[in-house]
Amino acid sequence: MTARHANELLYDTEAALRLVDSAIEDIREASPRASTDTSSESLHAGHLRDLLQAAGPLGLLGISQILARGHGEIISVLRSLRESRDVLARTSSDRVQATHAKLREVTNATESAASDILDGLDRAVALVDQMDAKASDRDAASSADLRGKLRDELFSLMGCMQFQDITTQQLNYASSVLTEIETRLAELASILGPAALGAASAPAPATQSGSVTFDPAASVENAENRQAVADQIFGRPRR
Amino acid sequence: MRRILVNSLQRIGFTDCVEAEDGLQALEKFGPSISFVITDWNMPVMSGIDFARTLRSYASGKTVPILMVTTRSSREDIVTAVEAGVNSYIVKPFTPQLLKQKIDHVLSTIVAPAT
Repeated sequence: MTARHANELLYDTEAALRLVDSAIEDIREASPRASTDTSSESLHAGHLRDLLQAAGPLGLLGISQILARGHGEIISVLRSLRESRDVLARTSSDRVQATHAKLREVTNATESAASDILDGLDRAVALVDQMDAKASDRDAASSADLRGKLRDELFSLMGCMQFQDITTQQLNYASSVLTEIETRLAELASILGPAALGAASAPAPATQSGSVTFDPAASVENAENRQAVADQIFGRPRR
Repeated sequence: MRRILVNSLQRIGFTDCVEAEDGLQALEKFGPSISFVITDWNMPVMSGIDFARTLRSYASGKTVPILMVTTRSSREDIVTAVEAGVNSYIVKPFTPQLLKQKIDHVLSTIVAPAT
């Protein structure tokens, strides 16, 4: 189901509701007394007479036409709502689930890659250490300096791997948002599609297991500014 | 992340590290031999902030320095960490130099120098 289709349904539903509203307004304008007078006598005995009198030139035929038009629009609205229900059910069961799977895939792949890179860096640092131990005396100073730089460079790459921790939290947050949307869509779908309509109920949304272990605002950006805020708060005198 | 932290600690000279996967495991491993605690905030089973609060409730954990390394950087979170008894705070991503600076600062200002 495309977003365009969903938008069209929404537009149709809104348009139909406007037509129903317009029909109700027509009746209200034609029968101001009947719509405001709530006494039991007027409502029971004189209601129809008052309505016909108030209808004036519109007459009974006009009222029945308005009612018929309203009925038709209500049927149309119900049809649109049922179709919208189906769209929501499919969205919650297919597209959101697929997005969940993709997010999990990204998380696993990133974690695996980061772990592999760390393993490689560990081995590389160990090799440099061995080279250092076996270095010849000739140009020993410059060789040691070069190896030191290489070691520093490799080590800084380890620090770069912090991105994995942060992106994992970001992805977990996105996943939690999708879960919440999925739950709401499923609830909405169940409201719009009662069992009386004979439609299959929407599948239960996936629930998140375990405790929340992510920061919704996790970011790799502006670390220095955020650190400055922490330093400022931690720098205050303790009570 | 723990692995990066341990590597960084080793790089700056702290080679004797005891690791834990979450706050609860850290509490189980905590003992007289632990002279400095570094914890994340977001951890499974028990968060770093709950770990800090619990540790501070122990007689043996009232004075041990706690450094928190986390992505959480809102003022509310940082104040919460202060109130939980955390001594210093690092916002990820961090550099080994910053880690060393914070550890040195905590050791020099919070822990009474050995005589």
